[in-house]
Amino acid sequence: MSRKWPGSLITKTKVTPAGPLEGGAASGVWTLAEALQWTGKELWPIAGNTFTPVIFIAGTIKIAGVSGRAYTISQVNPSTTGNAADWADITTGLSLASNTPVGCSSSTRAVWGVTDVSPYDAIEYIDYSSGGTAAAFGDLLNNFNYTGVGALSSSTRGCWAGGDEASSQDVICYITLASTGNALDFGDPTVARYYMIGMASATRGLFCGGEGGGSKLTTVDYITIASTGNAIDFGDLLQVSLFGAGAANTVTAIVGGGSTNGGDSGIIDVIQERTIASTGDFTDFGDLSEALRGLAAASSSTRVLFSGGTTAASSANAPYLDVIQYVTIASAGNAVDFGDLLQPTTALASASAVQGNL
Amino acid sequence: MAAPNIVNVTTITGKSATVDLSSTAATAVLSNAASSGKVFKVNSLVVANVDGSVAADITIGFYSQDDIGGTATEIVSTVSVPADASLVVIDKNSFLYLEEDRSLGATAGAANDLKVVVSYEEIS
Repeated sequence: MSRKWPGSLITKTKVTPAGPLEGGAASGVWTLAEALQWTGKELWPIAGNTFTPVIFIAGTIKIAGVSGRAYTISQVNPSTTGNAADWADITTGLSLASNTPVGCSSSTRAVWGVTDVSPYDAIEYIDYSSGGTAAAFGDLLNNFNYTGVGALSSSTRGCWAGGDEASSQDVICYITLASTGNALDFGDPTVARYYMIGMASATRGLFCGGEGGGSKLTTVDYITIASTGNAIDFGDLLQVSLFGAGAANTVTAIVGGGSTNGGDSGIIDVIQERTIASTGDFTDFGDLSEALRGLAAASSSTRVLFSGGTTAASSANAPYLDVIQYVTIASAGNAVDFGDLLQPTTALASASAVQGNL
Repeated sequence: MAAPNIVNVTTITGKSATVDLSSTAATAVLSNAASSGKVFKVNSLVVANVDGSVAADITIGFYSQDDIGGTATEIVSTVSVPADASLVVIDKNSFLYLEEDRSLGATAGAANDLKVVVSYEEIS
């Protein structure tokens, strides 16, 4: 039905803007005030705002010197270098402050588990084509505190394993990325543990390290993502990497940073690598810019980007980093500077629409 | 000739004009010539993005001379107009007078995507 607007114009029914990308639809006639309102909600299509396919999700930031939760999702283009740009938001009230990255991704959708605030088992998602604010996807399997869960994904499935600092869960669950709904049982890891780091080739997923049974572990498990079942022993990390981060392309798994003892004294700058197709142990790849834990990792087919983290988690004045750094997967060596996050952040998640295994 | 005193005018003519922004250069939308003896009351200015898939930026400037001469004061600056959307830059709640030797200009962020319709009263 037609409606009379302040400018005495009769217009067709307006379509709610779908998102801030320049291709977003917003048919109709809008006043400047309305445009500004939608812009404030990050839903007004912006000319030149094309999606760049690696995103960094929420995390822990300093607000007036005190640790607090971030709800922002920022984006970078992994094939170039540069600072992150604001893109979207997670749902206010939820959190990703889990000390391990928990994101999965297909080429069209990022999905992450919300781990350390009630209801603990929530899963959220956002479609790369839209932006705006994330939406509910479903629930992780069972209802325990998934803090320390590890995550990986193929182009079709997302998997989470372990978690729960109190009870060391021996659960692997999975979702079909394209269909919202609750996670289903996949199988069990070889050792019940938490603080695992996940990454995958197109067919094989690795869950690396973790802590369980009172031990800091170098254990690496693998699963065949398309087939449910228990994980199988793959090999060992070069060094324990609690609160480290990892990602992969179709060939190579990369793990960076973390802590060998879970504390500040054990934080390392080591980057370790392993060919995914053959079982065995990780070897040295290079170094991060400095020893870090609580960072995130995301990949393209050629690069792994590490972002954020902290050098001293137990300190009340722990410095959080805004550094984004990257390695070229095919060439072992030290990480080099990529750009900056929107703000210093630790315990953030990441996802990539051009994840190296897609 | 001076602009008319609007409590004692002889003619008020309602008019509209359209401009297709075929380039990204500043383009005159409405110009009141020096010594025209007229004042234009601009009641509405609407920018439509006719591209069905990509947003485009629009800047509307109030120029200190006719034919977009002199200095531009932006009314809106690089505001994004979504695909298949229109943006009401001026309406009857925020009308403006265009005096002698003043003009309105539009600058598009992309060529051939944006069209401007301005409706005004020519008062003399």
